[in-house]
Amino acid sequence: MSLSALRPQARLRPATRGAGLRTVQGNATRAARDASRHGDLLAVKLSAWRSKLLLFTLFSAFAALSVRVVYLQGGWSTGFLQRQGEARYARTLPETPTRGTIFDRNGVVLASSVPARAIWANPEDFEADAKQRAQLARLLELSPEELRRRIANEDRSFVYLRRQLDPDVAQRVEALHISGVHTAQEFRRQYPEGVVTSHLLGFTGFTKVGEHGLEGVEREFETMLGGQPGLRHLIADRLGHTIEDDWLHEPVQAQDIALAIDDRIQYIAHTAVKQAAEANAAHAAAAVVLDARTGELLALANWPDFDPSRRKQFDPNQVRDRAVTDTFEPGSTLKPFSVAAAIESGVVRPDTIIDTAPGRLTITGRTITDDHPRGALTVEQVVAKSSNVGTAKIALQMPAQALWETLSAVGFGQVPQAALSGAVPGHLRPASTWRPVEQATIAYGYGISVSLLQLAHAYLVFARDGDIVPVSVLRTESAQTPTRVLSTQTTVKMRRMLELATSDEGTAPLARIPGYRVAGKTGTARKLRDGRYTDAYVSSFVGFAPVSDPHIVVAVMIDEPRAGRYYGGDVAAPVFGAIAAGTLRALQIPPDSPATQVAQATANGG
Amino acid sequence: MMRIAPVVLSLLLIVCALALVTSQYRARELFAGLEVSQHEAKSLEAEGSRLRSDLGRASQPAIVEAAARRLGMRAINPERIIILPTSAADTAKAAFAPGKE
Repeated sequence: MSLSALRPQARLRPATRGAGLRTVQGNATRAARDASRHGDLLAVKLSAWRSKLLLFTLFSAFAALSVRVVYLQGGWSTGFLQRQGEARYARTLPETPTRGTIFDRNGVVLASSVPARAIWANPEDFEADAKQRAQLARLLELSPEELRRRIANEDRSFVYLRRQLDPDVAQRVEALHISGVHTAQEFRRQYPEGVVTSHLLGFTGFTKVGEHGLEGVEREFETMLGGQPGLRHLIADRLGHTIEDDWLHEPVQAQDIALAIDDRIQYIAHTAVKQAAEANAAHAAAAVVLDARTGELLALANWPDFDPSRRKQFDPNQVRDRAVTDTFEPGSTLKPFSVAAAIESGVVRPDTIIDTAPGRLTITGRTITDDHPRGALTVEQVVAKSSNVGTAKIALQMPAQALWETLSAVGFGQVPQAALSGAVPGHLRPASTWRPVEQATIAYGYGISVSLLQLAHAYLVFARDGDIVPVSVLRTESAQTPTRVLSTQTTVKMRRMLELATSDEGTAPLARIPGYRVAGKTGTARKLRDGRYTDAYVSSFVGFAPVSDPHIVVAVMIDEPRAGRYYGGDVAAPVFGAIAAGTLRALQIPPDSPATQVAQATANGG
Repeated sequence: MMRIAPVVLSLLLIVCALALVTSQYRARELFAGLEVSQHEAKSLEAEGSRLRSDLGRASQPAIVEAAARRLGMRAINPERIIILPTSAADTAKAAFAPGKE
């Protein structure tokens, strides 16, 4: 088509047209001829308002654009364009610090975060043949049905197939090149010691904002281990390289922590507790090992235990840190405190004779009995042979307040200052509410409830010349300021009594270990259920070693031994022996027993 | 003098502008390098923590004990410990049976 057809016909003049055109383009030429015939007639017919309208329309359109430009660029509404522009070069990324590592006292890793991958899928894009599906399911350790179920929902564009996967396995998943399957970086919390440290360390869990400690040390030291996520503002170039950054708020870096735990002692305690619980068909068992000099927690073991890497099998019964969160009536393990209070207040001396015949004592209608009735005993023997009647008689000679003060000063009825999650205060009523019979029963450990941690902590008084320091979960160089509870003289007397308890005439000869002098006290308490004492027992033993210079305190509790034997001296004392022997060896503490062979300098020539 | 000044100044301006572009470019290049190194440091750190964790797992007392038993080793028995005094003072202390407090 020639231009002539498009031009306003009124303006065409035949003279301007070439001869060739006229022959080739029939229609156009004819139209041109028509135009020349009608001449200016058509031009008159096109009234001026049409072109003015066109001009006005065009002007209005430009005016509208100008207004819009001014509106968008002139500062009235710049937000939209700025947002769009910024979205193309800037981005804001949250920066989560890697969770801190938990070490034991010797620098062994107890918990650390290692890189892992999450495998996720977009069900809309998912495409794989049967063979690829089978391989994927095998790598992800999912059943083929489970895999099918997860990718069945095409309404969703993001489905986790597997989280916390090993990076090596994730690489093999990537190598399958299945469309719609992607990997994302994340971290996995690892506990190399597994079941051995599980109760103490606890575990972490994921919420929308990240990983948090849910139990144990992980929870208690969350602020140190977790840090605070930061927000980073990045400016990227065309290729996506960061060219500028600044912090909207900086992250608080996570800190590593060193616990007081010694992983060798922890292992010894855990093994001993587990063996004892299984051998005695017990409901539960626990042990606590404390450093007598610094109050550091060297080991804390519980049974039943749980594997922190098998989260699906978590059972609250196994996960609970019984040594810290559960209380029980301690029974005879409490007697030394009552006797110490009596000696301290000058009511009795270690050699004072107490008549425990005939093995029972009735106070305001309630009768206290001894399992093995004995006649006249010294105070020393009352402790060593664990006489309820004797202890009750001693306790009744002193004011209730004095007993309460001693029990309270060693930490009973108070939340332990140790940073252990779920630590309970136990139960110790104020002395003003005690009836006489209660004063007697509390003296030998009934009508008061304590946790195993509290019991171990309280025995620091006897192991430390009469003062007490708070339990420390973290490794410390020096002990905190001690609080004095008993005089040194009273403590020395008590130590003698407690050592007597592990002699052949005491209740716990099985607590003895070769090479060292040990001291301690057994406990066999009936369990209270629905307000009545049952035939189920809690057997316990708390002691310390070596007696000549106490270094460790070990407390053992066996809950409901059901294999026939239930006396603390039979059930818990051997566990104490096993743990104490292993701990003293691990800490390389020289034997102090007279039986130890000491090479004569002369014989060996120095 | 007044004729040369604009020429010199505009030349100076061009040189400055080029220098600015170059320095900006260098800065961005270095920044990219820093980013890469930081990323590398992070992944090395992660690798380190993985190795430490593996070491922790390999040195578990349970595993060490099993290995020691395989090699026929036994736990130290206090009855088999002999204390060797190192000086006269120690000899005196050792001779004093530690059984008496």
